[in-house]
Amino acid sequence: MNAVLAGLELVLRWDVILTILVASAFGLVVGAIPGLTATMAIALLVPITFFMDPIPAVGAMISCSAMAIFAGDIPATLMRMPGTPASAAYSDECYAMTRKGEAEVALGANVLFSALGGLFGTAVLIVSAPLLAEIALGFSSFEYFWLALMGLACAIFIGSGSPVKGLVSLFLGLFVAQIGIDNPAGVPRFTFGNSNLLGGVDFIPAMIGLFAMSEVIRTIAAGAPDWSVRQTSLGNPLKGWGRLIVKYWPQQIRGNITGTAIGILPGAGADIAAWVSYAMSRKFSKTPEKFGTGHVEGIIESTSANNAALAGAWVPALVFGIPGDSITAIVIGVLYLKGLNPGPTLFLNNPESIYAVFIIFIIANLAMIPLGLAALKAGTALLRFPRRILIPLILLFCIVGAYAVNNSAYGVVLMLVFGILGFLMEEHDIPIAPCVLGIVLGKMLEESFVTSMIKADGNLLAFFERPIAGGLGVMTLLVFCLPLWGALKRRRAAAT
Amino acid sequence: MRFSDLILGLLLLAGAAVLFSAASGLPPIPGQAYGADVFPVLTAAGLAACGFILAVGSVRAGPFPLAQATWVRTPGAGFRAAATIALVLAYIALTPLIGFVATATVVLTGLFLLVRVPVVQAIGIALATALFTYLSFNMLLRVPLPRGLVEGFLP
Amino acid sequence: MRRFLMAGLALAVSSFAALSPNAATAAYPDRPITLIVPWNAGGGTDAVARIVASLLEKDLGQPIAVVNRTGGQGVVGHQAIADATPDGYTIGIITVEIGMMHWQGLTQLTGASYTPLALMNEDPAGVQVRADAAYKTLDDLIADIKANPGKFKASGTGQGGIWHLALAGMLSSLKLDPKSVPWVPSNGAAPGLQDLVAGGVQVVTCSIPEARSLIDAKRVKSLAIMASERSKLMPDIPTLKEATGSSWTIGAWRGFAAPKGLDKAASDKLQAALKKVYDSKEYQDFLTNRGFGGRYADGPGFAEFMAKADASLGAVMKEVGLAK
Repeated sequence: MNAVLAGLELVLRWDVILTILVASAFGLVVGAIPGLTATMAIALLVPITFFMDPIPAVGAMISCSAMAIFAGDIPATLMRMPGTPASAAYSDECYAMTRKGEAEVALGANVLFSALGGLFGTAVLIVSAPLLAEIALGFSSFEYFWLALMGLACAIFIGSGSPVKGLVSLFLGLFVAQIGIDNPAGVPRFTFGNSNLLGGVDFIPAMIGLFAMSEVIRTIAAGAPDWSVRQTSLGNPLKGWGRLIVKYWPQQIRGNITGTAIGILPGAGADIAAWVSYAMSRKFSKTPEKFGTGHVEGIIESTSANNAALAGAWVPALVFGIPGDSITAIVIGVLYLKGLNPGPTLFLNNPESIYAVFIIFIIANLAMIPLGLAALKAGTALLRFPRRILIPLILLFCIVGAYAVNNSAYGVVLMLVFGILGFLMEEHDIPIAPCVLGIVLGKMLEESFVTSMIKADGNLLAFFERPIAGGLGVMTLLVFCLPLWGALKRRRAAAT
Repeated sequence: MRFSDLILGLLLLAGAAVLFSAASGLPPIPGQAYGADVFPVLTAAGLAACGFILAVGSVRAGPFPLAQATWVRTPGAGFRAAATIALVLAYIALTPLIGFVATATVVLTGLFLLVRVPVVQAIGIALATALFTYLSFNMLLRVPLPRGLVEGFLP
Repeated sequence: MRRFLMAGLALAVSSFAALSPNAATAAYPDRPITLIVPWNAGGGTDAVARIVASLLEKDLGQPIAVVNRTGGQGVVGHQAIADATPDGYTIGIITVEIGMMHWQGLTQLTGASYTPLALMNEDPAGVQVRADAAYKTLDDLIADIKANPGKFKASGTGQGGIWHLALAGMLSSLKLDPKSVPWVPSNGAAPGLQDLVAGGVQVVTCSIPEARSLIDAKRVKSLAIMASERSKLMPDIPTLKEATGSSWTIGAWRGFAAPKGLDKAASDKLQAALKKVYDSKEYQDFLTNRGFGGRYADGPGFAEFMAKADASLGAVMKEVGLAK
């Protein structure tokens, strides 16, 4: 208890609180700009933290990253342009709500459930970090292979329309992930000797192209007419939120658990958590037909998941110094610089610092609600601009974001290519989401398969020989086989 | 432009064939059974299967127009879509030569004119946005956008 | 809308009016500098680049934007540094891979494609196994490898990366077939180490600072480091020479460089500033806290160092079959 009080004392000082607020505002801006990721926001903070005390330094990173992941939902909702990869899974759904005039409801749900997801992840971090880190550390490529495969199964559940066209999209995404030299064999593939292609297709410009640029082409082709619907006001957020919490509490809890679990695993992060949660939400929904038409259910589950994953990623980072995602990779470096060396001993030797970290997590997630509401109001004000002014500005935004990812015109080229591809795909009723999922999971799937086979000398049964891998394998096979079995049963029932 | 499922299927089959031939030339990892070629070959197989199903389904569904031009919803739509793409290409070509601010102003003005924003208003908003973007990215976000004609005069 | 427009025009006009003095007469540097990092944010190279940038910024009086140009196992970023205009406003951090990737046929670039400015850090490879492994010394492990070729798998970086070469070179120097320990490619040291703890691989040949957190947590132990001297961070770990008699040494190093053809005034200024950074208390504290090894050389010294490293890396890569 004394350690908790000492931790509180470390945090509740005006300079720490001020740092948290400034870092939150910074994270909000960076996260809301597509192409600038939460990771980039943290990297920009690093030089500043060199000259800070340990607790404000860590506080700045925690609050900045939490806010950036939430802020990615803002452009996703307003312009169908995920601000960070973690928002990609449900940006279509949010944008569909905006088209129905419900932008404020969508963003309001994002604010609230991001904060609640973050708090849930924090609670797990506080209660059982050492135990869970132990489990996460036991995951090898065999387990990750099954997880990646299970992630791909999501493509079956997220695509609406023709399943064959969904698969076409998925395979296109898998192909895109194969370009470049970053494959287990270290062999350049489909690069035509170009040094940019050697680096492969960066996920973010591709995503900006597929989602946002394709929409811009379509809108300009139609002459950028204004939408006929008016945006409804959120009204009193507390009332609306109360209703959402009562109605969708199972989705929220499920999203929290999925997000935290995926976040804890060092090989997967907030973006994958959001995809899996969105797919699960649709799979278990009573009204799956409403998904994709601007329905808040899937948004709640996946926006909870990505912020929960963020806190989850700190579990292996604090306990073993193994980064749970690219953000914690940077944070670990800063922890060392500040003498807070991660490890089981940190919990014993330095409990007040650990409690201070936990308290900052709680403050950052609570601060998200007022800051997020302010950002929501400012963001939706944009929608009152005439579309013919707004759409060209969005395109410039896309270009700059795609450029900023790697500071090169190659990003802009990629965005354009994928913009045209996305436009053509949607013209032919080929859904975009499975393609993005393929790009996200393709590398993980191939790496885990090939490296597992090197370890097992080519023995395919090795995927079932480790206990966790075996369990996951059986589950994955069930996920793939159950829909088939259901279809067969229906067909037989129809025949008799 | 919209193609029928038959053409789409045939295109996918052709693409899969190209991918397959490119992938089968990839070298293996020495001493290993599964190398760089496995996943591209599987992807090619998947694309081919999808293409086949699409093509066969389309033939079974009976006669169809080969290419339906459904997407020309408003007059001039084709031109505007092509012009948007051309303006992004112009951005890529021009930034190394004349820098971000000048290029962004030109490209934005072009886009505004495409959707019938009055000329003076278009140029004004374009220039202001370009300057604002350049300054905020360079100073606040530490993303150096390409320099050229104008940027030397900015702080 | 009209007022908005007028404000925009006024802003534009005033910025044109504020003509800066002739660029040629102003002293270098008179505008922000870009520092290219060929590796991801979160890695050791990124950390070194960012601390040096923040210290360099104070000395040069101009902001330095750190930019990650990643992908292609470092080729993309190294290429971007070499291709930049040699005006002193784009510099980069280059790493040991510059002496390796041209041997693999991935690029034409070598250390000679740059204007070297300073070598700033080097970390030798170590030999890590699980803490509960039966071996007390590296000799025990080597004996087991000799008896069971192919049974042990090693990891720590991608196929043909620096730690792969460290392992192959070590085995070769001990008269073992480098292929007797197959390499499992990983996305860097952290996933490789995690796989070691998870039981996926048995050996990880990454550097000590990379393995530090798991060594401290008593999950992993280091049997030797491939350097001529013991590490300052963990002086209990013997050198490879002490453990086995092999004089094989290898390490990952990082240095700063500009595109080829940088003029002498700018190069001198940057070299002096980097020397000052290296000697600063802040940089030395950074190295100590992160457990990184310091190693300095000025521009010409760094050029010589790279040429030597290039030749010896090439020789070993050919010997163990990693060169094209």
